[in-house]
Amino acid sequence: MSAGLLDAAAGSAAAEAGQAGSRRPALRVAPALAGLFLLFLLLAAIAPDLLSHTDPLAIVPRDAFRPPGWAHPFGTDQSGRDIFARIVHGTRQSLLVGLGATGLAMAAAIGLGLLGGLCGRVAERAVGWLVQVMFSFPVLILALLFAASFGNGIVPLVAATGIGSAPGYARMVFGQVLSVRDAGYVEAARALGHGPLRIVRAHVLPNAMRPLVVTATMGVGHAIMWASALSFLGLGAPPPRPEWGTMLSMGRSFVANAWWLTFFPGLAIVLTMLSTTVLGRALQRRLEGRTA
Amino acid sequence: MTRVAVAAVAGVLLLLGGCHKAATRQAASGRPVRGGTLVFAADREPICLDPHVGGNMPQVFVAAQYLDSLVSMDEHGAIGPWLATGWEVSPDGLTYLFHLRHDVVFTDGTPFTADAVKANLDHMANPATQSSTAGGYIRQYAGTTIVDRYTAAVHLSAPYAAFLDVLAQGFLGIESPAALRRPRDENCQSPVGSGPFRIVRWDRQNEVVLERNPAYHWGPPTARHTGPAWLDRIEWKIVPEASVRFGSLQAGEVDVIDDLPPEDETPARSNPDLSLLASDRPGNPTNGTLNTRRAPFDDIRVREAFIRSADIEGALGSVFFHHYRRAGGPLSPTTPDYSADFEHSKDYDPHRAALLLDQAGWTGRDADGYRTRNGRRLVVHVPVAATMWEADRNLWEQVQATERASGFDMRLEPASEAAVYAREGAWNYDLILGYWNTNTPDVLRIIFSSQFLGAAGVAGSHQNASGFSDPAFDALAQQALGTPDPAQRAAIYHRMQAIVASQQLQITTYPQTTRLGIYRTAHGVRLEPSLRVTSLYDAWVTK
Repeated sequence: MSAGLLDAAAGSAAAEAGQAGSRRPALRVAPALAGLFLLFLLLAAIAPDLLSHTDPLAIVPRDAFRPPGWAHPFGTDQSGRDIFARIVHGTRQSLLVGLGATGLAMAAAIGLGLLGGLCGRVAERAVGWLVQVMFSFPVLILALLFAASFGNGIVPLVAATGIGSAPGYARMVFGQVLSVRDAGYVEAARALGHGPLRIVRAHVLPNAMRPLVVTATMGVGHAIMWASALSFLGLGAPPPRPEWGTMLSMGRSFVANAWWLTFFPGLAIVLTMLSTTVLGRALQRRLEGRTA
Repeated sequence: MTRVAVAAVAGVLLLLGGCHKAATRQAASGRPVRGGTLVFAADREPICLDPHVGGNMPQVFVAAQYLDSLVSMDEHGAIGPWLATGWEVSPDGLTYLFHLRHDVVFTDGTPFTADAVKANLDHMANPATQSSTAGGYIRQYAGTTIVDRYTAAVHLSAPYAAFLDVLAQGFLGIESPAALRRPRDENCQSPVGSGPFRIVRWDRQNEVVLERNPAYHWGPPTARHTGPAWLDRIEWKIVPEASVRFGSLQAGEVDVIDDLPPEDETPARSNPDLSLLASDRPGNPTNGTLNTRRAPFDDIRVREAFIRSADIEGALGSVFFHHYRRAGGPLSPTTPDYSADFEHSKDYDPHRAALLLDQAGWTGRDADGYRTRNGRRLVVHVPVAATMWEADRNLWEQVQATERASGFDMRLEPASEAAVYAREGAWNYDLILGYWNTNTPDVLRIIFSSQFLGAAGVAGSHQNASGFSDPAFDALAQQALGTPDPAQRAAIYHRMQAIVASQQLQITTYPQTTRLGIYRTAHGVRLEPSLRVTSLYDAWVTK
């Protein structure tokens, strides 16, 4: 499935990090475009009415299945609703889910990572074991499990996606904390008599977090995709709320007759994923450049 | 050069297409061929293969292949013989004396006798069977006496004019009494009948496999041939995804699909490899039933306002591409004693809806534009199963939008099927989506009389989901069942339809319908008239 591919892409991004900066220095167009697209999404999330004056919930049965044109740039769906308006109005939710889920995943990961790295042998073993077990479940399966037990709606969606993607981050933080813990500067700080809380705040956390910033940027895109997958499976917000994954799901039976029902929501998801990945990589290059 | 080649290929294809069509037609009218396997793709899986237990449509679709009924029903609604060769009804309408065929044997070797009739009716009526449909149909059943080996006297507690009609339905199919004695789960998995096929195995969530019953020579008079079925084998696949079902049919991987999606009807009609077999079923149309037991629908004005705010015609045009007809009254047009007088009694009329809501005191509007009364918003809770059919889901989303325009906050609340049943059983809804397929107007008694307000079936839901209760209506329903004269009975059913329509109990949408897509390899597929259920007894394949 695409999950494997995407994880591989993220993995290789990390692996290539060292050489990426020197390899393609001229390629700045892509991050700029990605940034522009994300700004556009941000605008759509904050003030959707600026971009589309059409009511995303207004149905006009006699205008059903209109192909893209002047009146409806992305066409209309089976109920005559404007697809462009629905995508624009669906952005806020998608971004909220993406940011919320990533935030939740990070918070959980940092908690686990610090606990495992700094609270002694038993905690280290336990956290290592827990992260390994959770990591062995595919993200979607974990998220499905939580979505099924929390019920439908945006909060369960955020929770399910966040918890589903937490193990990946947790493993990273855990590893970072373990390596930073024994670093010279931490030992130096300890020798200078700094308290444990201060050491964590001033040394462990910042150094453990740096690689995480990059992963989290890309993670937002992934979270949006997982959330779309869940709403595609019917676990998202109840109708008629516009949601990209639900739009894909509702349009899929009409793929042969009306391609625009699935094409544009799909495009929105793909472009969002691409943009966050491109931006994440650019960020990574800069960070690596600074440390090198 | 390429253009010439393309033209040549196109020409050949056209020619082939032409021959092809002629060939198909020939085969269809040609002589049946014995042997082969027919692959059928169904949209839903039965919860149990024994149609007595619970009793939902997917069960009867399979049951029609391996069960026979006591009597048959033809296209005009006339009752004919099947496992019973004849019957006499006592003057008081309380005893039915059935004379049975002497030559019928179940596929487990048990002979069919009066014992089997008794065992089956007892089984349906037994509360432990949790039979919502068959059991609900024979509430009047008082017992069976075995007169002799091939004569059974069935006793009723009250006259029941629709008794023979419901006996013709597959839900009341006759199973082997020996098999019925096994535990319920075992009989669900491998029930035994006397029909043209027998169940070989059921791989859950995948397929039911059936094989020809070689001894079969007791088909109903509605069948087109006598003797054993033509097919060796049926593979009854469960394929819930509509586009996959239609794709497999186009590719010829399956021979017949049910529930052809509305968006694929036009492509299916123009495809020379495919044909369509469609027929509207009798009964209560596909609907949303309003819960009258709690606010806001305890107020008839709010009920009518809600029904008048649903633009069903619009949805049938856009989502159903005008392929489905409107059913505006409490009965589908193919039901006996159906009256067209109520077709337009609930047409879309937002102006009237606004007036009614004002009268009912829902005069306020909140920030989102929904109507309020005493500061409370006008909310309608609708539990919907996640497994709901796409087209229905689209339809109710469109209704939701037109309801919003009238000021109703109609909430479609997705949940698992079990959760929806649980809410149904607890009266925890304002609108519940449903339908009822049956071949008699007595359906009005089942879904609107106070006799059916109790919990029923495996899930404990209520047949009367509106909670409507009216002694005058109940009395009419009883009177109809005791009225042997068809014209008088029709007049009573007309009054009952009028009461239901005037009480604003349902948004009815379109008749339940059987819609089969048939690939050119399958022939002779027929619908048994009693419920328009697929019968593969007369079918054959050319592959």
